[in-house]
Amino acid sequence: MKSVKVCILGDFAVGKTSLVRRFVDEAFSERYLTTVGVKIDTKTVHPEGAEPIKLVLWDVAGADELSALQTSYVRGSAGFILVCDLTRRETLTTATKLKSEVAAQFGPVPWCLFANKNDLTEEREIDDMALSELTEDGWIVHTTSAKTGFNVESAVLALASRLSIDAGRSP
Amino acid sequence: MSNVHRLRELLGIEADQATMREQGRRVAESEQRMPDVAEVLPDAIRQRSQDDDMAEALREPVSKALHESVTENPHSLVEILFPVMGPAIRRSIAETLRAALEGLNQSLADGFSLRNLRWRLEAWRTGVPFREVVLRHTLTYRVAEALLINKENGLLICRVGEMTDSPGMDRDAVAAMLTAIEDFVADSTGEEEGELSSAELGERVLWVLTGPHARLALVLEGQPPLTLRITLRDHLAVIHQDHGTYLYEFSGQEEAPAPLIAKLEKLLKFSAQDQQEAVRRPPRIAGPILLLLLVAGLGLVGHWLYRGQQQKQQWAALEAQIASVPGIVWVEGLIDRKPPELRLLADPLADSPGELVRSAGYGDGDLALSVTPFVSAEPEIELRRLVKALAPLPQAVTVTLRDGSIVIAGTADRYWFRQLAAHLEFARINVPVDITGLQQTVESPDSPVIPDEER
Ligand SMILES: Nc1nc2c(ncn2[C@@H]2O[C@H](COP(=O)(O)OP(=O)(O)O)[C@@H](O)[C@H]2O)c(=O)[nH]1
Ligand SMILES: [Mg+2]
Repeated sequence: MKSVKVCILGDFAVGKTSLVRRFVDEAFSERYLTTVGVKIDTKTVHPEGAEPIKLVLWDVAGADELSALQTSYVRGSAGFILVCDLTRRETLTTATKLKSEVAAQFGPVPWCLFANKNDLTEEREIDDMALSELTEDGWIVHTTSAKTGFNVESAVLALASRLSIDAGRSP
Repeated sequence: MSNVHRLRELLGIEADQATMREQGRRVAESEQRMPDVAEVLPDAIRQRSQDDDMAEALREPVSKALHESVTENPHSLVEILFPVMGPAIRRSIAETLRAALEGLNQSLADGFSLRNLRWRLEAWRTGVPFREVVLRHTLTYRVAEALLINKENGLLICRVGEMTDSPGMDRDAVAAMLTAIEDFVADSTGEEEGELSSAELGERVLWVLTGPHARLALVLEGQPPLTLRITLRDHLAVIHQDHGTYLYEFSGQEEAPAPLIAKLEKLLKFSAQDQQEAVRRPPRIAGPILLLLLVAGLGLVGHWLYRGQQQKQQWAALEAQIASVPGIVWVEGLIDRKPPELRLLADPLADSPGELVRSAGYGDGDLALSVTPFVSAEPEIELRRLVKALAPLPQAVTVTLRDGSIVIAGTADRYWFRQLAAHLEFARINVPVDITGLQQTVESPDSPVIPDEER
């Protein structure tokens, strides 16, 4: 089976680890997250009309900018998932900043935004208007909730489909 | 106005005097304020430490300072962490050494196990001290599993060997995790590439070697020697030489090329035995043969010792027998000669010495026997000699030995009486002869009297 590396990036406490825990095959090596600053999990997905593909997910511990070490963690990614917290506006700013950093360092790589904590409707600071503006700018945005599981599976599958098409093209 | 004042005015110094005085006052004041502020600063921070404001205000400068300090001198981080990690590492090393020593002690204390015997034989055969032989054998290892990992993306290129540890542990995740750890170590020590990382996985050891495009992770069992690292490094270099482009461009393809898999599988055949056999002379085959020869030799020695014992017993039996046989005297016996030599004196009337030797188990050529005839004065032989001289004995006459005397009893005719008397008179008999039980037969008129001369 073909495997690809996918990075998960975003500000502190936006829900990266919770999201991964939601959809991986099995929880693996959580204790490394605090030590090394990254948690690895794998997930095999079956995109429609394509070969199954194994995602090796790198949950990089929160940061609003990439350190040298985090840059080394992102290196070699076939795609990445940006995560922001709908209840904290500044986490979207961080996501935007991270996206530019990755693009600057590694060139164009397939990516998408998970606008997380969709279940906390009361405390929401980023409204649908802001999200649709992003979509108009060409962003692929999925509102998700790691708590309820809303949209998580399908959002990951969507990225995996794009990656498997890309993978099919590469040597 | 003095000339000096005028000059100052012209140079514009006078005008600045006020400013200078003002600045001097400020400096003095701030210098005076500094101790005041320093005095209240810790309390001020403490007082506001619960506020988010304070944390926010400090976050940026503190993290920046930390970051800059670490970037400038990564070793400082290592040094800071060392007091914490150092003892833990030392403890771990001590633990490992202790375990290894325990293993050694166990082996030495193993006593008379077959394995122990084999090692002792090996020590004896090779001239290597026993302790060292034990060490050599306990320093065995085996490559249980090997992973080849792309250095950049941490994806698993190829895996061979058994699934060590929990088989459920996803090797793709392991490969990624190892890559992350190597990156982390390289980042925190500021070193380009870790020479070799190793970690303990329960009973096993994990070694990670980094090449230009790929990492080699090995799960080893036992106690690999340090020289193995050099071998492995060479092996990784060969893999890079032959498959460099593939390794570099690898982005998660399914199947690795067969020659690459074969090269990786070769690693699994590495084991301590190989290395030892390479340096040990004579080659492996000599082992069993030598052992066999040794066993045969031991058998021969045993047989020889047994035979020796048996021969001695046989010799002693022969000597005892000869002592009990009348008319034969043991003069000299040389058991150490090959064949053993025996010199005897034997009366012609004694039992045949040749017959005696044969009946004692000595076949032809087993013994060099030399017999010198002599006249024995033993009562039994004297008896035989007498019987022979008087033969044929009349039917009614018995000649026997009793208490060291020859007793002749019965009845005989006159003629035989005469013959006996003549013999007893002329022959030298060294034993008393008792003829009190001998009677002369009553002459019958019918019986013809045959003169001496005609008999
Ligand atoms: N209500 C709600 N809480 C969430 C959600 N995702 C994460 N959290 C919470 O947010 C906090 C941070 O989550 P975590 O996954 O550790 O964030 P990370 O730092 O990005 O990895 C935790 O307390 C989670 O329980 C979500 O979708 N809804
Ligand atoms: Mg996390």
